[in-house]
Amino acid sequence: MFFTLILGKLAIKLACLAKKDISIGGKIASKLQKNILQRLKKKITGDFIFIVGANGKTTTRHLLVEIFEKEGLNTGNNHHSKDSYYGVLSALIEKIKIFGKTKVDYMVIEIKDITTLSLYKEIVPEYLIITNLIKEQLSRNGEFQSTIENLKTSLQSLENTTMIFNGDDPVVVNIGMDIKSHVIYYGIDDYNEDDVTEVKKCIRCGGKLNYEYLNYGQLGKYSCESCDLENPEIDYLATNVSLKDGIYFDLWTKGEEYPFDLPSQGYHNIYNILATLAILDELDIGIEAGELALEKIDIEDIFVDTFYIKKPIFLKEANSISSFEQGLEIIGEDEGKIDILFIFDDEDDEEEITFIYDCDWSVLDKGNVGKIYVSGDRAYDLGFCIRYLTNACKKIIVEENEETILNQAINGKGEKLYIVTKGDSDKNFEKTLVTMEKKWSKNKKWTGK
Amino acid sequence: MEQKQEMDRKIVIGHLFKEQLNSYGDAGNVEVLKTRLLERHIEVEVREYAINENIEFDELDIIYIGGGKNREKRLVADCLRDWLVELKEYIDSGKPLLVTGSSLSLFGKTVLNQEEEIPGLGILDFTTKKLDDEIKGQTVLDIDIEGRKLALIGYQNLKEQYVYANEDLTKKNEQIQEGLLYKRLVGTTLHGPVLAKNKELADILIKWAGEKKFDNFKLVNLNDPLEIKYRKLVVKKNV
Repeated sequence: MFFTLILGKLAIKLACLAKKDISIGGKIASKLQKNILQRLKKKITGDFIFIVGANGKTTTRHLLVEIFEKEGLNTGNNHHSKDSYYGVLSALIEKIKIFGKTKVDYMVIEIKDITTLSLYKEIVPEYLIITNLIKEQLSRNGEFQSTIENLKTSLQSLENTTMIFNGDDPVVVNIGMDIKSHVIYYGIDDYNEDDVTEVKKCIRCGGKLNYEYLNYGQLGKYSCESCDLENPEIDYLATNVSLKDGIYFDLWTKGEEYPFDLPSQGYHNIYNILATLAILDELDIGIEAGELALEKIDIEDIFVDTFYIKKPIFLKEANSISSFEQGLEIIGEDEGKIDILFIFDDEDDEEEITFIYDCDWSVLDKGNVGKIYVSGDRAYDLGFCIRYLTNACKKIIVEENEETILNQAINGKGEKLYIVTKGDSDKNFEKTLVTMEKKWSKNKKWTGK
Repeated sequence: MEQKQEMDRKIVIGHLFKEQLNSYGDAGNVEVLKTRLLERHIEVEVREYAINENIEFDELDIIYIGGGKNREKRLVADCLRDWLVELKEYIDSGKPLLVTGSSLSLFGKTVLNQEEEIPGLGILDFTTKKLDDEIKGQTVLDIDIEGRKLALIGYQNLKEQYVYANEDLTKKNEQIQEGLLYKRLVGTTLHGPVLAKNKELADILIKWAGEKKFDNFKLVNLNDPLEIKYRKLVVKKNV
C-alpha cells in the first residue's frame, strides 16, 4: 500500500504538471493493489458527501468545497478528472497521507457517471445529494428506466445516509418514497399566473402526472392522478424568485425566512444553491455562514462574466484546459434556448490544441443548443472536432473573422449566448463586449416589458 | 433498399494501445473513420486493445496506431513483437493500417536517438535516426496515393529521419519526411487527429477496407461543407 500511494501520488503530480487528467493516479493504484477503494477508505476518516444527478453536480461540489474551505475546514474533493471511478480514487490518493490515518472534515465526491454508484460500496456516505435526474441528460448513459432502477437499488442499501433530494423532480421523489433513509427535500415555489399546465407520464405508475407549472426538464409542481406521487413537503423552499441582476429569493426553512441576493446567474443555480444550503444547515455550519460565503464566492471561477447586448451573454475566458471543460459543463446545465460561440486561438504547444479530442462534447447534442459558432486562429481544428465527435455538425458555423461571427451570434435566434474563449491571452474579449454593451445600451430602443 | 443493404455491412476498427499512444488527440482519427462509415450507413465496431491483450488481427478491417513518447513506444514495440507473424499477415493481406506521428519508426529495423537504441519490429527495411534540427509546425505534405496526388494538411513534430535501405520502399529521396506507403500500411509523420483535416485519406482507408471485405463495394460521396471551405482556405493561404 505504501508504494501504491507513493506511485499514485507521483502520477497525480505529473498529470497536474502536464495539465492532464489526474485519474491516471487512481488507475495505476488499482492495478497495483487489489480492493484499492476499501484500503483507501480505511486510511481516511471524515464525513463523505456524495453528489449524484444529471446536472448541477459540478457547481454544487464547487460551492460546497469553496464554503468549507472558507470556513477553514479540511476538505477533499474530486476535481480535475473526467473519469468517474478512477477520478474518485485519485481524489482519495491525493488527500491521504502516506503514513497513518488521515483525518478530514469533509470529502465531497461528485459521482460523474450515475451508473458507477454501485462501485463505491466500501464507502457509506454521511450525506448524498441528488441534484436532479433529468431524463434527456441521463439517456446518454443508457436506458433511462434501468438507470433509475439501478440507482434506487444502490440507494436502498444506504440506510444510514441522510439524503438531500430535489423535491421538484418527480423521478427523484419516486426514489425517495422507496428508501428507508432520512430524506430532506429542497425545491422552488415559483407559481405565477402565466404558467402553463402540462401532463406527463408518471414515473411511478404510468398514469397521468399533472403539472401546475414546469420549471425546467421535468422539474416543477406535479401530482399524479392514479398514485401518491406528488411534491413532498419541502424542507428548504425558495420563494419570491427573481433573476433580475443576479439571483434573488427568500429561503424558508424550519419556520424561518432568509432573504438571498446573490451575484450568480441562472435559474438552475437556485437548485444548486439550495442543495448547498441544506447541507450547510444539516451540518450546523449554518445558513447565515452559507449566505456570507455565497456572496463572496468568485463566480468567475464557476463561469462567467455577464453582459446584456440584446440578450444575456455569458463569457468564459478559459486559461486552462480544466476551465475550458468547466465551461462546457456549466453550459450543459442551462436548459434554455442557447447559442454557443467558441473563440479558439493558437497555442505554441500542440497538446494545448488537441486536448479538445479528450473533452466531453455531449452538451452540444442537446436539443436546446441552437447554433454553434466557431472562430479564432484554430477555428477549423475545433470545427472538425465538433463535426466528428458530436451529432451537432449541422449546427456548426465556422467563420475566421471574429467580429463578423460575434455580430452573427448576438443576432442569432438563441435566447442566451455563451461565449468560451481559449488561447491567445493578449486578446481581450471582455473589453470588446464591454464596449459593445455600452454602445448597445445607449442606442437601444425598448421593445420588451 | 440500398441503405438497408449497407447497414448489413460492418467494419471492425482495431485501435491499438490507445492509452499509450494518444499524445495529441490521436484517438480522433478513429472517431473520423467511425463517423464517415456511419454516415455511409455502414455499421462500425471499434475494438480498443491494451498492452498484452489478445488482438484478433483476422477479425479487424482497419487498424489504427497513434503516436507517443519513446517510453511508450518501447512498451508497444515489446508487445507487438509477440504479434509479429499476425501483424505481417495482416499487412500482407492488403488490409489498411494507419500509423500517425512518430510510431512509424516502430515498423523499421532500429530507432536510434542520442540516448538509446530501440529495436524496431523490422517489418520494413528502414532505420530511424535522430534529426539534428527538429521540424515542428503546421505543414502541407504532398503524397502519392491511389494513383493520385494528395495534399495532407496537419501538424508535424519531426525529431527523426527515416533512412531506407531498400530502394523499393523509397520514393524519390533517400530520406523523406512525409512518411511511407507499403501495401496498405499508411505511415504519416503528421501528428494527432490527421484524418479530421484530411477526409480524402480517411475515405481511401475506408474504400480499401470495404473493397477487401465486401463484394462490389462503392464509396458513396459525403456532404462535407466544412472540409471544402477549409481546403479552399488552406490553398488560398499557400498560394
